[in-house]
Amino acid sequence: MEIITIFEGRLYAAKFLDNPDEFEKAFDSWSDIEYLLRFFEEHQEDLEAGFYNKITVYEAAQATLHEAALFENEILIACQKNQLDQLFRNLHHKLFFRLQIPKKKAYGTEVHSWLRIYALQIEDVYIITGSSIKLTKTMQERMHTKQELAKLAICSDYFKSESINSKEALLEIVI
Amino acid sequence: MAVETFKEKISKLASEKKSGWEEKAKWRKANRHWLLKSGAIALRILGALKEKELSQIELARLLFISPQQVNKIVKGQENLTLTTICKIEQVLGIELINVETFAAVKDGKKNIVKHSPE
Repeated sequence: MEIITIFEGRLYAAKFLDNPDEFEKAFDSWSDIEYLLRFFEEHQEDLEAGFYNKITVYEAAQATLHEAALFENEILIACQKNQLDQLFRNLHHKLFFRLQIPKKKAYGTEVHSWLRIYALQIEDVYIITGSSIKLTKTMQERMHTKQELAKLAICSDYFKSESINSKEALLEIVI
Repeated sequence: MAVETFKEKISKLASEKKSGWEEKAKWRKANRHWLLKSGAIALRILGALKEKELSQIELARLLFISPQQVNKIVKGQENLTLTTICKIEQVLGIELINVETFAAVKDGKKNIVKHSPE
């Protein structure tokens, strides 16, 4: 795993294997109609479950393309104005204890948006760990959202070990 | 841990490489208008390919262009020329854009004359 700079001192992203960093990957995917159509065809049952008013896969792909454009612009402005705190909220609504490294999420711009960006927050810095098109109530219900929970956990463990336990280990990674 | 200390740490930890996102986001913003239209066209093409059970490779062969170019078109990321749009319309038997042609305008004028008061 690598940590990639998006906005120095404000926004970073995790990069796994040969993929683009998780932030770049999110918006690359959400602006790719072929990818979107394939995704919604795979998750057609969730679309037809009723919450989204039985929208077709074609309508869903087009709606996502439009919304991703607005969302991307919103993030771009928030980065420039240093207002990322206004975009991110706690991943879990009911959390009765304070996490050492809080897990966060940002929603798309529409009321019932299915676009999600996941991040860890350390001080006023956000580290993007992944993204998803979330069509179910909980993240545990589908494999692709479950994987995002795993990525959050992996990144959180990585930061705990590297930033807190060993400065030497940190320097080794830099080299 | 002081904020500065953590920021220094993460700056050191972060790779030398910068994310390509900002540059791409600015490009997508500047080209938003035609990208959204290109996306809508891509959806129509993907729908027609499915209906006619044609692959992207077969479409490339019919259009005399590379499969890579067809893939860029169906991703909604190609700034299509009218020549390409018309070729796709002919090959797939679908309408991708609809603008009044001279014949249609002429027909419209005829109708106006026909229905105008004496």
